[in-house]
Amino acid sequence: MRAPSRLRVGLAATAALAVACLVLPEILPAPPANDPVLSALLPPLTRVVSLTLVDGSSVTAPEVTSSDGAVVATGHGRSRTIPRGEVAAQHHFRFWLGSDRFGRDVLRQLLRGGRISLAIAGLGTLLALTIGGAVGAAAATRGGLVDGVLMRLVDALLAFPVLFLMILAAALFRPGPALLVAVLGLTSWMGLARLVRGQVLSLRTRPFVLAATAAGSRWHRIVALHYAPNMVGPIAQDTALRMGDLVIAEATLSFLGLGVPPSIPTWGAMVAEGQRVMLDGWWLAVLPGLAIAWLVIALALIGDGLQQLGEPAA
Amino acid sequence: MPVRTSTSTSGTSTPSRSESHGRGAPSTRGAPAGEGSLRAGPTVVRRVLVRRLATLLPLAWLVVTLTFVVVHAAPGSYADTIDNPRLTPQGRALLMQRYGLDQPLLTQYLRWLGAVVTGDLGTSFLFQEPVSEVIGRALPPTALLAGTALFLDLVLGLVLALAAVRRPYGIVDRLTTVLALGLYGLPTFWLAGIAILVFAVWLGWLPPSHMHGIDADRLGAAARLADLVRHLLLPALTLGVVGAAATARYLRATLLDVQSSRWLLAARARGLSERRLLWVHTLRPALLPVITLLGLSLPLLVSGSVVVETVFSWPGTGRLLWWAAQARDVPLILGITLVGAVAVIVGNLAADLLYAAADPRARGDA
Repeated sequence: MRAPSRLRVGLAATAALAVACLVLPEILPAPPANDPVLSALLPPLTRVVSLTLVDGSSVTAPEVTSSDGAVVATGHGRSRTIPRGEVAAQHHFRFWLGSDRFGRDVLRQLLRGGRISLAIAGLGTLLALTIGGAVGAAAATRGGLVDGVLMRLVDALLAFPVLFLMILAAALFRPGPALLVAVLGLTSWMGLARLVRGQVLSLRTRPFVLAATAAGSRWHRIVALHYAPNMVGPIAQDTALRMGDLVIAEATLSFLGLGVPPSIPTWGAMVAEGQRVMLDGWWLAVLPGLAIAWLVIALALIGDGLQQLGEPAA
Repeated sequence: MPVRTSTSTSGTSTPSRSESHGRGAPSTRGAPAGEGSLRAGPTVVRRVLVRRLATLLPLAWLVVTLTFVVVHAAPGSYADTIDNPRLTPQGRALLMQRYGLDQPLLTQYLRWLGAVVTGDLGTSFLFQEPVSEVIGRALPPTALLAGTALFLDLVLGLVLALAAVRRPYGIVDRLTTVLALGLYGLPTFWLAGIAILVFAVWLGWLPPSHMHGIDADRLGAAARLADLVRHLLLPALTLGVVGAAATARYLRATLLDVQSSRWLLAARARGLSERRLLWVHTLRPALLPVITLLGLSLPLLVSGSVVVETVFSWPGTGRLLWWAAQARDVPLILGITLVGAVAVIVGNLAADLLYAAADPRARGDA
């Protein structure tokens, strides 16, 4: 069967982003050791000249002119004059996505932040998948009291605005990557538990499962051959959408200052930081938001595509 | 077959962002067949109401109990948030005693629960006022913001959907699809920031934050109302537009379903006017599932307003929860949680009842 175009686009966009975040920071030319005064808040695509001085320090500025025996570096409304003899080397560098108020390369920050966002959302989804799968399977197979208690717990957690719960947990405990994964995972497994329970309950009465049971198949064989293949589709679809939710949730918590410590750049924290200096550089708030949207939309397309794949051909 | 006799909190799947994004009609999923007898009319509605009210209390209890556990499982307490070098260990112990934090957890829990049963939510550590009064002050702004957002969500969503289905896969339809997907992916806090930048800073049309201008107290009634509306517009639009995109996508699917229905064909064959076809025979059945959608979007709306209230400095419950969590103000945290949970549960219940009232099939007699 041909994969729906949404699925292919979504997979390609997700993979491209993941590869870029993992690989690009290692192979892109390193940004110049920065001079925050002259190279701060440069708009995207700005080309800068980086001067390495004899004493090992460096000066980076968008504009460098030489006039009788001295080099004048200008940027951010200031300039610095350096005697020509002190300049050991110079090279060019382009801030493709601009620089922030400390003169750091936004592209590199985005890619490094993407690693954190992807890892936290991915691990959180995995945790939710594990808990949700276990609870759903237990509720469906045990039935009775276990089912009742677990499903009422799911109801209670779903009646709760999830972000409330996340904010509460993140504000009460010390923030950190591991905690964030735990908070995200522990607050988003309920939908999966319901899905798995429903799937197991409906598959259990299907003729091919009954036939396998009647034929004396052992349970792990039934699970592997009959349950798993039929459940993979809906679960994968739900997981893709959920991961998108968690990307947004992680960004929101980081934005509110409840995410990972500020020393690690994540997309949400970058938006928060960018909104503080929004009047001086729109790109600082806009670009991380677009990065988040890219990932979330790509994941949504995967979810949609999987749903189309699961539907009987219309 | 009963189209929808089950409850939103126990029947359908998760009320997360993905739910509002899904384009299939979720109304039939998970509805247990056979629930609801052939008895029609108000008795069934009343029975549903009684059964649902019976589950409301245990659900609310579970939610606050979970919150209690989470709050006390976290390290530190209210006394630790007081940043005063002159606070002696004795003074600290006195504080803990004063707020009952020195008692065993079970005692604290039972005490709080006992007070709640009699309608007493306790005293806020942070505000030194009854929790009910603090929340009572924050509720109207939140209700105003969420209500306006919900209204914008519905109206904009309906208009967009109607425009889209005029020509399926036409330009308007494709644009709404792209718009919906884009708004789904963009985080609310980002949109809020951009809205402030564009409409408050660059264009200067609307104030960037807060609920009233600083001189609001000296304004006359009409000017005061205008001031409030100007402050309300940006946060409500931010929250409403995000919802409208999802609502439009959802309504598009149901409208398309209705348009290909046989009853519409029959109605058209009888020579009814296009206007009547639209208002009576298309909109009414298409809007029915929206009631359920509204119930499901409640937790979303409450969550969304936490972010929007924070960005726009809106004096509502979302910002209050944020403060309470920072200060470890246990009674206030529990109070807001309780109110939020009850609001969501009651909202879902109201949506189900409305649905039962609006759609005879949902009463189980079709």
